[in-house]
Formats: sequence, C-alpha cells, structure tokens
Amino acid sequence: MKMVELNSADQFTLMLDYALQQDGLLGNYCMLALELEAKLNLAELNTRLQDLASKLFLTNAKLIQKNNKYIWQSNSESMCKVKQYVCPKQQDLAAFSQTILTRLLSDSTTLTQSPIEVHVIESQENNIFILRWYHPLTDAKGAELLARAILGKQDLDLIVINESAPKYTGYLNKIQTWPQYITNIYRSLMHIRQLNKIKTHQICNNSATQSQMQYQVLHFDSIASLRINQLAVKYMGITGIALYYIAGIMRAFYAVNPDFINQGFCVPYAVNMRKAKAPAPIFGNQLSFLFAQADHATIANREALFSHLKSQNKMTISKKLDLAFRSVMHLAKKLSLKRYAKLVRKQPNGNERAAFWFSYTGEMNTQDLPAIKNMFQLSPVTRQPSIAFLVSQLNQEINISICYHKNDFSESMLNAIKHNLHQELLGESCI
Amino acid sequence: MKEKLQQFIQDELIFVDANQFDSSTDLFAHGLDSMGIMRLVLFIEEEFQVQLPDAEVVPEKLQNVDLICAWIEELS
Repeated sequence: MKMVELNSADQFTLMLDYALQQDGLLGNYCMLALELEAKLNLAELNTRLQDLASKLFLTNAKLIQKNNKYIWQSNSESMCKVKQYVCPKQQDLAAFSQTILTRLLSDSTTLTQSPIEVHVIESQENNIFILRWYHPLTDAKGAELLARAILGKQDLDLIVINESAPKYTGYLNKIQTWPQYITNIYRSLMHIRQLNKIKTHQICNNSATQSQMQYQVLHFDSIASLRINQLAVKYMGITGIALYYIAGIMRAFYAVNPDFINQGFCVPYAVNMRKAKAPAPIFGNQLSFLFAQADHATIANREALFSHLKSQNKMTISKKLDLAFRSVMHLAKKLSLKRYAKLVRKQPNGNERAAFWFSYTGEMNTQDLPAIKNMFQLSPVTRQPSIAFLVSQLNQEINISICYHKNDFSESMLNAIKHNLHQELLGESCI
Repeated sequence: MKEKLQQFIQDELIFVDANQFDSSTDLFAHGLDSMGIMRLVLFIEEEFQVQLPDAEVVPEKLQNVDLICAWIEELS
C-alpha cells in the first residue's frame, strides 16, 4: 500500500482545516474556476482523470491519522469523476455559476471522499471548469499544475517522472542538526513574539450566528492590470509585487476604520518554492511562509508603508526567519492540531494574528491548455479574520477574489473596501 | 561564479533541460517571477558577498547568467 507523510507546510494547512471545521465550515477545500472559450468533452475528461489517478495515487488518496501524524494512503474505493451541472437556457451563466460555486464553498452535501473533485458547469456555448481541492494535498500553484495535467495535452508520464522526485518536499522537511534546530526554534519564537507586539486589527464584526461563505471577484482589464503591474514594480521593485497588493488591502481596510489605537495589520503570505514552468511537483504544499506587518501610523502614510514592507521582507529573508519559522512548523507537526493552531495562529489575547488571508499566484501558465476566458480562485476562511484576498492573473488581466463570511461584513463596508482597494492599486491614495 | 549561478538557477528556480541551458539563456522566457528573483538576489548576496542595491534590481540586469556575472563583478 502506497503512503506519503504530510510535510510541515501540508500540516499547516491541515491545522487550518481543523480550525475551519471548528467554525462550522466544510474544511480547507479551495477552488480554481476556469471559464473556457469552448465546451469540454466530458468523456475524454473522465478518462484523463482516471489515467491520472492510476499513475499518481495521491489524486485519489485518503488521509489517515496515526496518533498526531497524518498520512496519505492509496485508496481503491473512490474514484474522482466529473460532476456536471447544466445551466438552464433561460438563465445567465454568471448567475448560475455563482449559485453553484457558493454551494460548493459551503454545502457539506457536495463533498466527496476524494481530495480532488472536478465540476463542470455547462452552458449552450461554453463550460466553466472547477477544480475543488483539499488544501493539505497541494497549494494554489499545485492546483494550477493539476488543472493543467487534467485539461492539457501533456504526456502524463513526464509529469509522473517529475513528481517522483519532489525535491522541495524534501527541502521543506529537511532534517537539521539539533543545535541548528533548537537555534531556529528559538529565533522563530522570538520572531513570533515580535509579531505579537502589534495587536492585530480585526475588521470584521463576528456575529454570533452561523455564517455562510460568499465571494466577489474584482476584475481589472488589461490596461488597468498593466498600470497596476507598473506601479507595483515602481514602488516595491520586481521582487515585491505581492507586497504591493498587501499594502493596498491594508490601506483599504484602514480607510474604512482608522480609529484603532496601538494596533496594526499582520498578514501571513507564502512563497512558492516550485521551479517556474515545471509540470511537477503537483502535490505537497511547496511553500515558505513570511509575514507582512505594519502599525496604523505607518499604514496611514502610503510611501512609508511601501518602504517599511519592502525592508521588513528583505530583513526577514536575509536573517532567514522564514526558514526559522519552518522549524516551528516542523516542531508543531508533533502537536495536536488544536495546540498547533494556538501556537502559530493566535496572539496572546486569543485573537487571530492574521488581519486577512492573502494569496498571490501571479500569471497562470496557459501553454497547451484549451483557451481560457477568465479565471479566479476561491477559499474558505476562518471566522477571524473572516476575509481572504486571492490574487491571480490570466492573459495579463488581474483578478482578485474576495471570499468572506456574509454575516460578518455589511454590504456597505465591503463596497467601501473594494472601492478603496481599486483606488490604491491604481495609484490613488484612499486615505 | 558562472557555474555556481547556473547550478542554483537550474536546481531551484527554473525548469529547463540542462542541454538547453547556458549562460545566455533568457531566464524570464523560462518563467522567472518576482519571488524567484528575490531568491536569486539573496543567493547572490550571500554567495558572492555583494549588496545589490534595490533600485538597480531590474530585469535588464538579471536577464541571463552572463549579465548577472557582469553586474556582480562590477559591484565587487
């Protein structure tokens, strides 16, 4: 029987799965939605999916627990099949797909046993391909590679060969000498202590009632996207594109509610460790984690914020604090998910450290794929911070998916955040 | 220097056939992105003990291994 142990970044996302379930959600199930120009052949798609599952067992594996250890184990019981939804002739595809996607984000009856699911929404003219994936299995960039493997015409054996040597999984789990390990744990705990000096400003109003996930997509056309990319490079340099978005979101939030004294924003974000344009590794969260943090006084000044985030990022990497944080993640693998969550997510006051969840995957590689009109990603998010921003780019056009708890944000607050973010990204101050 | 850089880029940053990768290969054409550039910059600073000024980290200087080497030599 084939087995694979979760790496420390996988375990981090499994901890988030636990936290999401504690909040009454499905768990850490994310989605990648691709609106295609044309229709797919579903029979071919099912065959391709079955080929993939037969060659890469993780596509169809089940997660088992042994004490505090979690392992993927090959599974002969379930086989991922394409689930089809037909948009009625009289109904608008956008509205129909919003209903389906919202259901997939929240409704437990839609879940199968498989760690990946393929859903296809069919209209008269075209299809929307949806890949739902269980985050401990892979990350957002891995999901893109998985979608390429399913939809593309690449030789599956080539993917299998590259998948068989998941270099970065080894890198993430790399065993250090004891003195290195202990030093890194200490440095990382000091890093976390430093992060805790600023109380994280939680913008949402957590209501007592059960909530439902909802999403909206901010789309920027090619001209606006070009402008945003130019401004990101101008202010943050070519190494800090993701930070430009984080700064914009921080300021968009701040403008909505600037009255919190002695607080600030802390935003964990991940760096993809895969090689550019490599077809594999698809599986495993191949990530390193960083934090962007700023107090309110810094956030109020646009250029000071840019400069602060940039130097903070450089300092973190040059002092290898991201690597040190990985040692804590490695240590936390030995803990229960509950204790792990407390160690890496919470501040001493019991609040979530993250002011919002953030992901940036850059431009999607569409080589050898059927023509795609539009793309976006969806993610569940815990009740604190209650909102996630997922930034992606397709054909040089930027999409920002905003996933949030419907009852925790009024429509006016959400509209104000979107309006502010739009202004900030296009270079106008919203404060 | 050239060999060390090529090895790092090939091992860690871009997916390319060793036979098709030399010091003039366009790294951006092979998908080198902002996070990859950051890792490359930090590797250069640590490995070759130079400080790359932020304002000068532009695609024109990082296009290929030859250009990167010339820049490092200039700064050394």
